Amino acid sequence: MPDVRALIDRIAHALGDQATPERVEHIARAVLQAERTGAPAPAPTSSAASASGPAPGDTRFVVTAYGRDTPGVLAALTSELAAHGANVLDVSQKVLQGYFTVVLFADLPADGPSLATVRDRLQARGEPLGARVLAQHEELFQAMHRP
Amino acid sequence: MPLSLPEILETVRMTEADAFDIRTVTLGISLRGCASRDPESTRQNIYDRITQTARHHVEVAREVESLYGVAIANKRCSITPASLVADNFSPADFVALAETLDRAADAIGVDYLAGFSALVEKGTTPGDRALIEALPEALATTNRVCSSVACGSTKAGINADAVLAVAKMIKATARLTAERDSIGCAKFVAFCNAVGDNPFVAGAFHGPSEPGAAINVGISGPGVVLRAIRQLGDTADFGAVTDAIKRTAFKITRAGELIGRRVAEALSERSGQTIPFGVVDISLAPTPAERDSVGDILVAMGLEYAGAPGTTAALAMLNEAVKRGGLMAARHVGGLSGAFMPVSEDQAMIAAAEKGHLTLEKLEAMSAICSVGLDMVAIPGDTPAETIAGILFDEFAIGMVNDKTTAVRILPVHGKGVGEWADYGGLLGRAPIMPVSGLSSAVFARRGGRIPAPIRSLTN
Repeated sequence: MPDVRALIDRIAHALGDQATPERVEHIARAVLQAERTGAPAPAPTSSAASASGPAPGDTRFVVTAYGRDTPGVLAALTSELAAHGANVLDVSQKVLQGYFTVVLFADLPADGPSLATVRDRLQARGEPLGARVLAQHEELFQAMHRP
Repeated sequence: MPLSLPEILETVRMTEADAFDIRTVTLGISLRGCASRDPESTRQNIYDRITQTARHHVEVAREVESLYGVAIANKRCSITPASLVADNFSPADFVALAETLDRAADAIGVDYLAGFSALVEKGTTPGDRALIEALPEALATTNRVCSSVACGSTKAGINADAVLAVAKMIKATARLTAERDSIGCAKFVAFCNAVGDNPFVAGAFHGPSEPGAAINVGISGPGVVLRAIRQLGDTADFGAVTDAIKRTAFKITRAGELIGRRVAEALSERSGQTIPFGVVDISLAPTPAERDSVGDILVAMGLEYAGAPGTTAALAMLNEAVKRGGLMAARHVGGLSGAFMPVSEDQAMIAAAEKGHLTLEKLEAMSAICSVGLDMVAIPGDTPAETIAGILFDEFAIGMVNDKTTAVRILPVHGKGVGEWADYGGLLGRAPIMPVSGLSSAVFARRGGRIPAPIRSLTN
């Protein structure tokens, strides 16, 4: 896989001072796993993502991105999340007739930035790539689908 | 069980493609204790109470909508019916109070503040009469103040004197706001069986039995229900249609409950006073926007237009299914809880009215089985006050006998007639002026007194 090196470089660059071998590897694995599984995405998304809740004070949220299939969206999102200290728990990706949908579960640490800040950054990264990006507290999905 | 990708995408599609939002998060504020012998002191007390209780309301609601990615279309406030705390006011004092409320609404950043109201089901006090007399000027000189008068109930019967006074007041309001298609009337609702936890403006007020303050939520989501019905196709039977609506209503009510609770918690924390979460009002409320129409749901059920034979049954089924789903999803359900059919705010209703398929009489029949009555209905400006009183009597009789809320928000558009339009823009939309029967109700409307409560009110 010749692009793994490039992916790792991109993630390391995006993380800057926060790059650790473990963190870069974690994000790279999540990206590769999502790209490998492609369409259809594995469902349920992850036992880790929902079976156990986030650490006290952490915010578990769901990032959804969709748009015309363009290389680099997933990498951009995951590296941006990592740059904010968000721990990506799971990634699902679906590509259909030139359009993609990516869903990520992540935890934002209690001492990290607000979800609104992270969403603004994700949207800024997604927009040039033609991706509409949402970031929503996981509680909403739990309330609607797991009463 | 972990969330699945289709579940995540279903929620995302609701907000992104089907115009699902929380229609209103309304902070109800009690004005008890604000009364003083001096009207100016009362006004100041009311201003202070509202601005202190609600100063974080809009900011908190914005934070919660951002957290969950579900828009809260309206952040509003309701207050104790004004006449209850200002019974010593003259009409001029009430006009001044409306201006005070307008300033308070502006200060806290809400577009509408409702509850400039009187409860006169059985009789009026001097303050009630002064408030009704003040209403035309109050509605004409303010932008954010909404009003209602409760004219009857199943327990009390119908206050006929109040009905005629309200009809005359509606005409006067239409005249005073003639330059804007009588928009003052869009900010006033007349009720039978009014409820004190209704979060929907213009008819909201914070009832006398409510706590010091409370958050009530009105959900929406016609677009989500519309998709669910369209997905079934034209051959699904009524059981399947009910089931699809019920499941959808359950999910959107859960979202409303979550958001209401979070707003109440955050507001309590920030304001330093306990502000409980009250109810979810499980009403389907349309807007003039695409994919946000209750009328379109009736069409999707298989009617050529809203107003076609079968419309009342379709609306009854929709209403029942929404309640079945919503009731299971929320801890406390209240408010109006049913389907709204404001003609000017629903593009399918507008289209049906324009073509003459939707008449006042059909809307009246529909109001017998849904949550409100004649809502945002434009009629000719030269309709006599006694005829408007007759329309009010009919709606209130339906509410009184069936032990349900009925309401009238009617716009006798000054200077305009059938074939012309009233255009308000924004959420209030636009409506064709509908014909009204030319038969006289004058003698009936002027009889006065009280229509006695029905036998079914004697339930003990």
